[in-house]
This record gives sequence, structure tokens and C-alpha cells, in this order.
Amino acid sequence: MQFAKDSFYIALRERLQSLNPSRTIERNGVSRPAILVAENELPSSAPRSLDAYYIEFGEVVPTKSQGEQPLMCMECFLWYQTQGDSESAIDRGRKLGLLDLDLMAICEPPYARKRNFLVSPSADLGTGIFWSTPVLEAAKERAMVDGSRQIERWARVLLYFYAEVIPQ
Amino acid sequence: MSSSAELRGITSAAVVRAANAMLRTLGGGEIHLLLPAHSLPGKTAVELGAVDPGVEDVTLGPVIIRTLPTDNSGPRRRSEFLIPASAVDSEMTSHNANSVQSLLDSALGIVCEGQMYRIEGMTSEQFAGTTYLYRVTGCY
Repeated sequence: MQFAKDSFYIALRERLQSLNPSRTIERNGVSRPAILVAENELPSSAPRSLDAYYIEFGEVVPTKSQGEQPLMCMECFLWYQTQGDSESAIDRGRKLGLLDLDLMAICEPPYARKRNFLVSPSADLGTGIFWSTPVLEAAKERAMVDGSRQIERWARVLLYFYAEVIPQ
Repeated sequence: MSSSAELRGITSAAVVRAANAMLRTLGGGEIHLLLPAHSLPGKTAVELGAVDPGVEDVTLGPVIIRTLPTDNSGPRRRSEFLIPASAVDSEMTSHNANSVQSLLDSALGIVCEGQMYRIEGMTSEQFAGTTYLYRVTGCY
């Protein structure tokens, strides 16, 4: 399951990097594509970054399949927020639309190879992963303590994969 | 042109020293700020959470610790740490942070009397445009 999560993240990260190289965030002094897995980040009291995608993983259930190995289905949530580029934040809705557009673009095509990225070079694990088209939930606006307004959205994707075969 | 504070014979540097002395006089102790180690390369394994960066223990003092009230449904303990600017500013410089807020944002927490506190927030006290004291709130 971990390899499926890693492969999903790396696929989206590489696509975002080529689609929109300017969409980056600074983490620990290093610039990287503005997509990250929340559970892989260092715990911090800092608020989440603006204009970046946070991936969170949800429920995993086996689907009804005929093969020897069950096809697993995992919920993936992508969360992002923005306050726009202008001081007045009047363009926050338009900026959220651009984030939506980039998200839909990096989710196509909806498949990738499942690989082990902990070895160098990464190793193909022999199967693939594929996912559903993102469902964009209603955008929510939040008033911040400093008076600014931010708008955020959750997107839901179903990720399908075969569980890893553990050698005996 | 001198500020009104300087004309009265009080400079901001003096207030920074006075805050330091006051906290020391009141029996200021030490706390430990836990920061991730800095040698994190921008590698895929780091982004996948497969590399432990380790932690760096930064001692701050003199610090006064005040216990704050907590709700029944809230954390077990909330405390306010009064830290002189002189202690934090030197660490900010040595850790290449562009502000005290970003230094605290990058911290994993505060260790005080063996307990790890999660940082809730920070406010600063200023005089003549210079910060002389930070109030950091933490809980566990």
C-alpha cells in the first residue's frame, strides 16, 4: 500500500513540475513542487502553505474482483487554499479556479506504474495504479485572524491498486 | 533624528537588556526548542517521509514559565513562556531564519521539565520599534 501512495504522489508531483514549474513551495530551505503528503511532513505549528496541494489518505477497502489478489480502493483527499494574489484578495476565487485547473490536468492520464522509490534508480513493481477523476467539493471561505479571507477546497480521488506481494 | 524614547535617555537596547535581567532575577530557567536538523537534502526519500532528519536541541534562557488555565475538553496543560529577545534573536541568526515566527514555525515543539509542548502561538512585546520579549504559548 505504501508503494501505491508513494507512486501516486510522485506521479502528481512530476506532472505538476512539468505543467506549472512556477507552482513551488519552500520547505526547509529547499524549493519543491507545491504538492506534498501531509503525513510525510514534519510536525509543525505553522499554518498550511497557500497555493499548495496537501494529499491525505483515507479509507482503504478491497473491491469485488475475480483475480487472485484483491484490487484495493483507497480514498485520497487533496486539500488546497489560496487568498489570491492581490492585497484585497478579490481574486481569490479566480486563483482557486487555477488551482482546480492544474489539479484536473495533473490527474490526467489517471494511471501510473507502481514503483519503489526508496531504491535508486526506482524499481518497477510490476503492476500499475489508477484513479478516478477528482470530485471537487464546494469551496469554503474562511476569515482569518488578521482580517484576510482565504478560500479552500477538498478534492476526492479514489486510488486503485493491487496490494504488494511479499516474497516468502 | 532621535526618537522620543532616546531623548528621555532610554534606548531600545537598554530595554532588551532590562528584560533579560528581569527574567533572570525572577528565577528564569531554561527551555529547549526542538528543531529539525538542517542537513535535509531535497531528495525524494525525504518527501516520502522515509528519512528521519533528526532533531537539534536549542537551549533558551532565561525563561519564565506561567501556567495558563485550560478547558475541561482542551489540552492537559497550557503554559506561557516569556523569552527575552536576546535569547531568541541569536538563534534566529544562527539558524538562518528570516523571523522569529518562522523559527518557531519550523520547531517541532518546546521541551520543558521533561514534557514536550506543542507551540500554539507567539506574540511579542516592543519598545521604540524593538522587540524585547516574546510570549510563546504551548500545550500538551
